[in-house]
Amino acid sequence: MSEKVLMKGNEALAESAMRAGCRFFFGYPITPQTELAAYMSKNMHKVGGVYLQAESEISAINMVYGASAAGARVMTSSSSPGISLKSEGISYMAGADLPGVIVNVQRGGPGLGSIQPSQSDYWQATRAMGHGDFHVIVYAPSTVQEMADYIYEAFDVADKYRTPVMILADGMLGQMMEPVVLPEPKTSLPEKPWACDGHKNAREHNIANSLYLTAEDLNRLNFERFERYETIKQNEQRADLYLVDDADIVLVAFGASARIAKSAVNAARAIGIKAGLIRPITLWPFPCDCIKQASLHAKAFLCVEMNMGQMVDDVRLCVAGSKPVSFFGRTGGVIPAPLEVLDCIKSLNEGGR
Amino acid sequence: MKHPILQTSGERITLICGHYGVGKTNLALNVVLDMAKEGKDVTLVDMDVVNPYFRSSDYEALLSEAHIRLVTPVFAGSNTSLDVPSQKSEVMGAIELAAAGKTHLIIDVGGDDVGATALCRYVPMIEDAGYEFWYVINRYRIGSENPEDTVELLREIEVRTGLHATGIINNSHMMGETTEDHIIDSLAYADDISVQTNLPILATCYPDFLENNEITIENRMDGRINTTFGRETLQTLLVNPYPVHKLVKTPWE
Repeated sequence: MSEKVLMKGNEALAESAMRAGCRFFFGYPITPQTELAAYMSKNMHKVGGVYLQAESEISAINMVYGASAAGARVMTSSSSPGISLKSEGISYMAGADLPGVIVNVQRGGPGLGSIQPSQSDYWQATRAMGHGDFHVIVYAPSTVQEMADYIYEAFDVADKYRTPVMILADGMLGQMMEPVVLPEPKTSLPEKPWACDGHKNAREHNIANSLYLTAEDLNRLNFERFERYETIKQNEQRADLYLVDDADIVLVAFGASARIAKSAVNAARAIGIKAGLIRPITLWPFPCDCIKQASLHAKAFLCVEMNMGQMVDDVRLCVAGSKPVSFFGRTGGVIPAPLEVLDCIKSLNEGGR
Repeated sequence: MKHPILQTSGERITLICGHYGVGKTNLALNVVLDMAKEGKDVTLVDMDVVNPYFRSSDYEALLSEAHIRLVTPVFAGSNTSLDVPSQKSEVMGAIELAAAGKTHLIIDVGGDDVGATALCRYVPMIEDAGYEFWYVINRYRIGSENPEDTVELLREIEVRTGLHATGIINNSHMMGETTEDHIIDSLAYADDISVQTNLPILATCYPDFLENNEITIENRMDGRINTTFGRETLQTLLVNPYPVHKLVKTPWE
């Protein structure tokens, strides 16, 4: 195992991606994500890879499409407004069943918003990461260590299911520093018989394409892809449960908000309130099973997010009306304070909403 | 006894430089607060125009409570975080004040040669006034784990600014997970850099939470196990030990 080092979240994403075999990075600078690209620009050439700053986000994502079609491990990264620009390309990748990793270090929105942390792209990441019927797998790390761990895994998962995978981080996680143990560099990568990497007249040529002019063909393909999504839902749901078994008040929070929620849970326990935390690690597929399970004993749920209330929709779908689900959020770069969350827990424990 | 880095030498301008994320801002905050405690007139300039978060400008309230003058970039701190790097004219005023012996000026410079670029515009004034240039190092920070790279980085900062380091601050730590061993394991690294650069180690920082830890060390001479408190041990083993408080925090700490 390698030694612990201090890294920013953005740097950990970059280093771990290279260790996962990523050899192509195409991006365009934007705060608070820039350290990721800066780290790649310094280090990608040392492992024989290509770092390229494209002329725009739209170019960058289409370069990702091309490298992925040729069978490479490839990624791009940006922050909220830049991700919106990439969304067309992500849809094309999904339509062509191309794997790739997209990092969103979220900042405040809508529009140019702010450069401070936010989680207001949850709906975009889980519902509409572009036009058309498709999903991307979304990981929501909450520590610098998880930034390293989940991007490392994201490349394997992307190849396994031939789908774009998103790491949904936020400015806080991108900028903060924590001790991290980096994974070992991968020495073997999966074969990609579908890649357009030169057939040498030895096989049929492969095509990476998302255009289908025959209605029946596209219809069939979409149904097939959604069968794959069902497999992903069964296999890839991830969540971390903290003091949930006996909890009356179950908090649900992801990413940096989960760190705040955990502090609030500890404070609540210290004054005798049975609070617990479910921290979704995959946002799509959403870890519905553990939330349903918790709804059997919980009195109430409380979602804590850095947005106006987005994941709370998914929690309500899982709880299906059996228990009240409240929401506490802050936006624009304002970060919920553990004490504010504690006040919500107290009020719910006393039967309030 | 007053720590050497807090003692007033002839120079009243201190530049705090180093690799990104070695802990320059947290060190700067500790130093200005300790200086202010001694009743000195202190000014802190946040010269970091690279980093959007976790910067001196975020500690305006804490500093103003201690009567420390803070000069922030035009767009930084609690009011705005616009991504436009620019410094206020007050920086020059602060340098003049320090040159006239009326304040102790600490400049928290941005990381690497890139961050230090913002300093270049003030170099003639700083040279005229006289300065200390602390090169802050951290063995556990990626990019500065080995002495060769760390020395190279200093050279890049020196070439960029035309200023020369006057001493080394060994700020090796692992944030909240720092143990006595982390500090002790960093001593040879700091020595190596000190020898390569011919610069003195002005301070070896350690987190103040280690002071009350009970630790055991084996006496190599007679094999006896001694139990002491962290403060005692660290003060004996370290070159110019300097306890630092963790002031730069995440919202859930």
